[in-house]
Amino acid sequence: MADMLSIGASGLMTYQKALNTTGHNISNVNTEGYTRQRVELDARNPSGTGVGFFGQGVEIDTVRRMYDGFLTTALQDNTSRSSELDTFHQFIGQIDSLLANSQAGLSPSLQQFFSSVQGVTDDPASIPARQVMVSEGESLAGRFNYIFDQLESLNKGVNIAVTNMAGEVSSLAGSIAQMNTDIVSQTGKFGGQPPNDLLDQRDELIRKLSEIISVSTVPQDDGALNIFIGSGQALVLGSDASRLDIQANGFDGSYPDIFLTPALGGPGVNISSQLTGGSLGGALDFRQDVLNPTMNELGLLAVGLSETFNAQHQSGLDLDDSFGSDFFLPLSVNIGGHSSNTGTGVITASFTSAGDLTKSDYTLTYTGGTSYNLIRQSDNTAFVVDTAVPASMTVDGFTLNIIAGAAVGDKFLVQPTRYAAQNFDVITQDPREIAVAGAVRTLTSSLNLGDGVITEGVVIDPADPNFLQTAAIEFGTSGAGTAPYADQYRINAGAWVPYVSGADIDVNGMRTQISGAPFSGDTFTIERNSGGTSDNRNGLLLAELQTIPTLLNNSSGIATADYQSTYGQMVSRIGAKTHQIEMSNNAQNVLLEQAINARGAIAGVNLDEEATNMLRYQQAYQANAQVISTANSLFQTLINAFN
Amino acid sequence: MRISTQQIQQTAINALLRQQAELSNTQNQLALGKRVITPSDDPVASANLLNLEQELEVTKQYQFNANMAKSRLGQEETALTAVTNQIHRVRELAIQASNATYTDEDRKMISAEARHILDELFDMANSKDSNNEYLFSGYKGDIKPFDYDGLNYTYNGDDGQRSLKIGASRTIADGDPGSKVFMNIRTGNGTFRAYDDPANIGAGVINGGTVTDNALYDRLDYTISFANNSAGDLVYLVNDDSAVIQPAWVQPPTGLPDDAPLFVSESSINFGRGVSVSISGTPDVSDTFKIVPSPNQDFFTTLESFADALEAGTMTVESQAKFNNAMNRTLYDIDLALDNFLNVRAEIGARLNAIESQESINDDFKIQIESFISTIQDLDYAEAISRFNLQQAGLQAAQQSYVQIQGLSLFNYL
Repeated sequence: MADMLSIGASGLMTYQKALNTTGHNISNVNTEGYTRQRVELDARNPSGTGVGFFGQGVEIDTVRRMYDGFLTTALQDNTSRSSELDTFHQFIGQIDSLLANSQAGLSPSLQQFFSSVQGVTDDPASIPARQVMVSEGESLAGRFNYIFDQLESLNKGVNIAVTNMAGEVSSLAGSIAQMNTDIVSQTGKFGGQPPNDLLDQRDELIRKLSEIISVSTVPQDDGALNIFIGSGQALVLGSDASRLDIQANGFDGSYPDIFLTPALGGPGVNISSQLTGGSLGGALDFRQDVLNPTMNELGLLAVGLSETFNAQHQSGLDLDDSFGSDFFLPLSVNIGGHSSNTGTGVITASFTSAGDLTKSDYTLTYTGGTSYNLIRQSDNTAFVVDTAVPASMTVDGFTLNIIAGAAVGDKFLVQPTRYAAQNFDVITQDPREIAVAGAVRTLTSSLNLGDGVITEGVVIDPADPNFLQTAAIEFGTSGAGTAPYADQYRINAGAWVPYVSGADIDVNGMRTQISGAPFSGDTFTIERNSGGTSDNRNGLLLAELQTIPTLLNNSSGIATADYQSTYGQMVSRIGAKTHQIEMSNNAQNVLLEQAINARGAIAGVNLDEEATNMLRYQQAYQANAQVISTANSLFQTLINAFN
Repeated sequence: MRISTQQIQQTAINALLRQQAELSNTQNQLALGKRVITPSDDPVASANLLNLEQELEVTKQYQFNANMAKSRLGQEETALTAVTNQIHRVRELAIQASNATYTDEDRKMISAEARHILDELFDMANSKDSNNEYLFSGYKGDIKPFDYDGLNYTYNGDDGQRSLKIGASRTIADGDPGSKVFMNIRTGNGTFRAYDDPANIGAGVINGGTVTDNALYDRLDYTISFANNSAGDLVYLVNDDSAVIQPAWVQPPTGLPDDAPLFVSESSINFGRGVSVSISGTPDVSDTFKIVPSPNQDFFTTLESFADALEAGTMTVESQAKFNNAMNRTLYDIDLALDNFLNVRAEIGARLNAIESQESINDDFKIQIESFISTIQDLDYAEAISRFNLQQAGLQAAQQSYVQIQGLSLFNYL
């Protein structure tokens, strides 16, 4: 009977615990990261007798966490990937909608600016039309600046997010290390029984960590879990946590680099380029793969537009017969020396050919002697610059001028187009200074008897010492037989040159052609244009820049894109990338959902299941009570037998 | 399979969120009427759209330019029509004035009208267009093109001819410089000019002549002079003034009056160089006539000389001959000027036609681009609305089923 009482009591105690566990499960039905627990029952060791072994009741073996390490790791991995894509998508979506907005995008302004150029071309003498061109130029500049500012503020946003996330990683790492300490001590204290709820909490912290960054975990025998990030850098080792710190980039102080400071001391290591996954990886990837190239691409368009438009503008004459100056502000290459440089070398650069520009940044390193190493970052192509001969070098549309003084190992960041869109501006303010007239004109003497026709001249060589000086072209005959038709001409009474109808006549940096049959004694004049207020020849060429390719030269040096299509390529690249990320993100969300479900299928609490368990354990509890009651009545029967 | 309670909730919520996102996207498309809202909706289409919109704008600009050119050419055409009408009047006057029955007094009245017309044409040549630029000064639109200093007419413009772009590969001139319209007009018969020496004292009147053989005509300067042969008859001799060694007799090669052909009034003077002129009346033996390749003359000078000739009087044989010679020249010069104006007007007409045809090409192109843009960008409403309905039904079903599943719990029965 004592046995029976003890057996019944073991049942009562056990099922009470089981009911407690069920209750614990029910109460944690909505707890993030909670793993349902189950009481594992065992029959007590039997007491052996000569007639066999008699059972001694039930006992609790352990409280088991319904945990599957593989599914938990899969969930962490998918969380990393998913939040990486989420973050990337969030950021790129902002550029996507910035470019989509027809009010904010560049296209309409570009369009209106060239309409205004056409307006001046249609009516070159009109001051209002010229004024419109200046203001449309300014509004185009405003648009460039606006888009740059938006991208720049996105850049700032990314940098702030990166800084915050690095801090969060450090704090999570600290919590996990603390959790490791607790788990190790609790496990030891209770004879190796797992501290289920602490383990859950640690898993949840790791899941939160994997939202920020991709992690790999290595369990230790004592229950601790070591955590590694990037390409194997230890973030948490047992009870020690490393920190992620932010330091300013050596080239650009506003650009945060991420350093891993080991828990056990020692110098921090720059791991910015090694971090992957999670929202931190997503933000870094976005900055590297989308934001920087986009800012450079926008800048390329700004440089291209100002360089090519200015060049054409400078070859025309304004209303006061002067050559045009720069219409847009000439832009400059941004060069930053590394903060660790010790030398005094100075690098400057200027644009030489807008069509050859790329959207890459470059790093220039002094390697000693007269030798510099220039690396194009987009494809890591290396160029060797020898400053001995010549002292400058032209690469990809810009020319580097190097002033000696650098110490070996000094580094410079060369960004040809990065800030161009920010600085894009109109500098011609006086509408009279817009140069739409051609620089050269030709005249046919009214005394000519022949029917020679001269073309409107063009400029071919502004460097000519006698550039644009008036030249008289006089026709004559070389001998008898052809008179009065001329077979030769001379310029400013110089040497006679045989006349070929339609051939180029180059003089004083100008070029024209004369065709037909001039008479001996006929004269033509080619000279600098003046008073051509209605002349729109240069205007036509300026307007034409809208639709002729001037940028993005192919390998044989032929321009492949006009301004609009350069911009179009940028828009479609962003669009395609956004689309791709969207698709991957959707797919990844499904995978994440599956991983959550797979884990949930094992570890999640099901209330119906718990209800049945509750009924089951309750019944068992009642039955065990009956066992005690029966034992009691047996005892009473026995007592009564003595009465 | 085992499902956790949280999972049931989460799955339902995910489904609801997804359906709502899709519905909202479709709603956005419907509200904007566009299929492509951000570049990521269709990256290729977005880039295409940007390029197409540029083409559309550029084509619109071409149409605008075409209109501009049309209106300028219209103004020029109007001015030149008026000029042409006045020239017809001058021609009538010249023919009238040649009438032998007219007295010098009558001719002075004609001269007065001619001078009046001259002033009017001079004003017209200096007229401005609606943008306040001179029509006929070439590129120098703000400089008055024609000036008269009491002796000579000068042109202050240049030979520039402004073009406007009216198609991707088509530019059209929107005017003509005054040098071409009024100044550099060939005189004589267009190829050569035959005229009397101002010192002539005889009654010979030379006509304009013709080119009889283009291949033979060498465009040199010739002088017709006269002599009496040994029989005492008037003969003519022709000298080539362009030759280096003078005299260089062409007719007769010997230069001897006895070898020279007899002069017969109004019969063709032909000296084997592809041209033929005739002289009416009897020139004095000392008289000379010249044949030179047509020089240019401005139209104002032509009118001025016409008026001067009318005012010179015809009292003597000599002055009568001078007058007749002048009238001959005037008629030829006016005809050539008229030809010149008609040529310019024909060119304007051709340009206007070219603009018209380019405009219709542009219009077609514009419509084509617009429809292309619409195909790429615009929403297929029928498809979108049925999609919207479907998504709406889907969302409703998800909501209803969620609510029902929510009610299912074993705890309800405990």
